[in-house]
Amino acid sequence: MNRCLKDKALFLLHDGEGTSAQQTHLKECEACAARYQQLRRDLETISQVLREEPPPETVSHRFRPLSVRWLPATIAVVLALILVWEGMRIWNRSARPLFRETDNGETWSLLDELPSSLFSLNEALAVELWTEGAGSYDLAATALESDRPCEWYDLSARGEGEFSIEESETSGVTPLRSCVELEAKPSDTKR
Amino acid sequence: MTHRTEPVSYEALYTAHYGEVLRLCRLLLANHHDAEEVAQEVFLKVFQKYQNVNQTQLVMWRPWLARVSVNACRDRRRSGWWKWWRGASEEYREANFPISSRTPEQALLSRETQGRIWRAFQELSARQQEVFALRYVDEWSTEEVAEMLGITTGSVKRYLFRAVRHLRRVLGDRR
Repeated sequence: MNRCLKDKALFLLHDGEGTSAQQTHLKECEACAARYQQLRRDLETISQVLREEPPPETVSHRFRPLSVRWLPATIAVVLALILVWEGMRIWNRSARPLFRETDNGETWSLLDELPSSLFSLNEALAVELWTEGAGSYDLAATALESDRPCEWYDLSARGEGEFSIEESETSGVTPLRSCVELEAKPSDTKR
Repeated sequence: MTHRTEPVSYEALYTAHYGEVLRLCRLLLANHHDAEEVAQEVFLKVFQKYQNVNQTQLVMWRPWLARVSVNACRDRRRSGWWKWWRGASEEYREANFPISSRTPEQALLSRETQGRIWRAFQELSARQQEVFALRYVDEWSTEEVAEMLGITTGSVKRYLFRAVRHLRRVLGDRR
């Protein structure tokens, strides 16, 4: 064996192992013998130091760098945090347009127009009733005050416009009840 | 310390092995208070085993102690990992270790080199620390270390070689 021994071979020889060829080379090669002696001295020194008390400045773990063992776990935790953070950002971004859509001007203008159109419908009916007969004006006013659709609006169209609020009060029937009665008993209303 | 198989008293066991157990725990935990606590736990286990063991039964106390100490240190590292992050620099300053007799070469070693060796040892993986401490500090054979740790002799040699290579770099820088 002409080539010098590797560190691992020297270490195995120190541990009482190694082939006979390696042992022979160690006896013949001065460089390898010197390296072997250095290995022995280093191991003795290290063992001796570790048997002694540790120097005070070496034992603080406050600023100890992260060991290799914890590195994968740390990377996994950091990646998980980044994923959660990014997921929350994406979720917020997708939720925000919906809110914006509900907050746009079109919606609010539609909501503004809706009651006015309802009122205009009632007013149109009231005008129609007013033009057809004086007694119907009271009915229309009552209908506007009650703010609910009623069959009474169609009374004049059906030739039953003579039934006024006064008559309903004397007969003890409320206009609403009259509505129901009109639907239930059409023959009773023909007086 | 020898392999004692004859029946001995608990006090004799404590006197003979406490220093060795404490040193091993201090090496593996790098914290004197934790090492003392674990050493006390180990000797509590010794006491329990001692009471259960038939006096005629021969117990190899030293390997048993080394194995129990390594396992106790491993449990401590796992359970109290957060303690490693707390400041402990004052603990060693307060600790009062007996200064043993040093070899001439040891006496020549600077405090800085000792610190570098200790730091390099702490940078090793837990398994490398255990293997190196048992093999070169406690001077067990490779086969005994393998048996204590429940691994093969080949694994012991691999861990040892990597640990030695890492530790020698520190001394290599010094040279």
